[in-house]
Amino acid sequence: MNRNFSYFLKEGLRSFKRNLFMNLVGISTVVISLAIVGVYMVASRNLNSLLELWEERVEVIVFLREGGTSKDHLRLQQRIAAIPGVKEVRYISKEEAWRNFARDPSIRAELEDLGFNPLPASFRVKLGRDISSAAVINASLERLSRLEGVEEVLQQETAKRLLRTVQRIRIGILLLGLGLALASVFIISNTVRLTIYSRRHEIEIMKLIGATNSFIRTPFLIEGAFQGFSGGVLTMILFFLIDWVWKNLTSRSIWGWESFFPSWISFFSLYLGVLIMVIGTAVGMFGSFIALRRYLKI
Amino acid sequence: MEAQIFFMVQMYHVFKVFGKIAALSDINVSIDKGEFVFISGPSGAGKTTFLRLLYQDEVPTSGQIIVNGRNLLRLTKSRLPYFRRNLGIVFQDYKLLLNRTVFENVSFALQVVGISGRENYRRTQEVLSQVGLSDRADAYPLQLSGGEQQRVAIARAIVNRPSLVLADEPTGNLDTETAWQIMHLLEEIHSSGATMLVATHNQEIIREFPHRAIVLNRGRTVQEEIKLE
Repeated sequence: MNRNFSYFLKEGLRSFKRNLFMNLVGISTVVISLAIVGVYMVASRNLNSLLELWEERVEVIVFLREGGTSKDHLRLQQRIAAIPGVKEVRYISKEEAWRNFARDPSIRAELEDLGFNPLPASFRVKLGRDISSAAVINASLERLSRLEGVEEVLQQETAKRLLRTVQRIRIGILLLGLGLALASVFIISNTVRLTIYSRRHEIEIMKLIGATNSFIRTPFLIEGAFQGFSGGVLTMILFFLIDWVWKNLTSRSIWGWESFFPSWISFFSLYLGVLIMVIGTAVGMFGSFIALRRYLKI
Repeated sequence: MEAQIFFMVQMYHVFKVFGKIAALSDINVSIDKGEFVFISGPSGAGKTTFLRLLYQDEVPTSGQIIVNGRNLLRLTKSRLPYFRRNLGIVFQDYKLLLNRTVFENVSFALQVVGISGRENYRRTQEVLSQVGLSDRADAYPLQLSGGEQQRVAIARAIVNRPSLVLADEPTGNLDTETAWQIMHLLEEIHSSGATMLVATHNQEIIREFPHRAIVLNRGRTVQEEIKLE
């Protein structure tokens, strides 16, 4: 294997050149499939940051029963913080609630007319990302409302619904991604199969003059990997350029429309680029492997 | 055991059936080491099948085949490539790799068996000069004449110094003069020690070269002509 490695590498690359046309077809297919996967990844990443923004805002307010001491409240705060899915708990005392409301002069007047502070102390509870299912959300909210000293939990339904929606979108994105990944593996391996079909005579001859299967396979795998890698690099360059153009568009105002292109959308990251190259290389090799299996059985 | 060392090829009651058509029926043949034997007969007689059984491109429907002391029935799939390395096969349609040069086509056969670098270069040059193609080393197969392509095919077959050379209609597509040159080349290879099996329907060649001929007709051996050299 070692002795032959340089042969395989040379042979893989030479054969890439010899079959340039078929290889270019292969690379184009890889680029197209990877571009689709890339668009998906960009879209899902941007959508994900949007979802995170939504999640940030999911908040329930827990009103506390009158008469608790600050010690009780502190204990309660710790217990709430310990509930799974709770990201942040902020205590708002009766006085702070008063101050918040009193900012509006008309409400202030009415409050002052009452002669006492009717506003309960409360916790603002943020539910975080690690809430992984609707069941967990429900259970958490359920536990919140059953805690001793809790009067009422506000915005339960809204929070539940929002988080459930976010969750469904996430699952949808994941399924779509899986579908696209499968489709691109299928398309790429089919193309590689075509390039190998056009060379079945070569494989047949190799077999007849006593080449072992691994000897035949290795250059094809290297060629497939090279195909996938080149496709990956081209796709990466493509996305880099799109991102560059986009950034230029968003940083410049065109005809005074400054916010026409939302700048929070990004098309490229090192992570995305490397991922696309790795996927391309792996799929190229895998495609060769699958396609060769048939011809090596001869 | 001794017999196995003496014979290069032995076939016992070999049948090969494709669907309902018997390509070969009850073939019993033995070929000595170092012999030169023609397989002759009209087209469709089973000559190609006969050879394909020997390099196990086909497996007999029944019967036993022993090549160079090895029972092909017992040859596992993983050992098959190593078995074929002891054979030199010249195909009817040459089977050259069209996108590789003459040199690459030949050196490739050495690469397959793990001979690379300087040794590969030396032996490829040597065999190309033996078949008279040293000056065509960088040409591609389609730039060559039929006779030259056949020489490349022969060079590739013998570069591994096989003990058994199988040639299927090596003169089939060639004019008489070129055919004669090819036959002399095969004679030369034979005289250097290889056992030679040549399938041909060309009676003239069989008459001209004084070797035993196994005559096939409709898949059966009809006669064996033995000529004395």
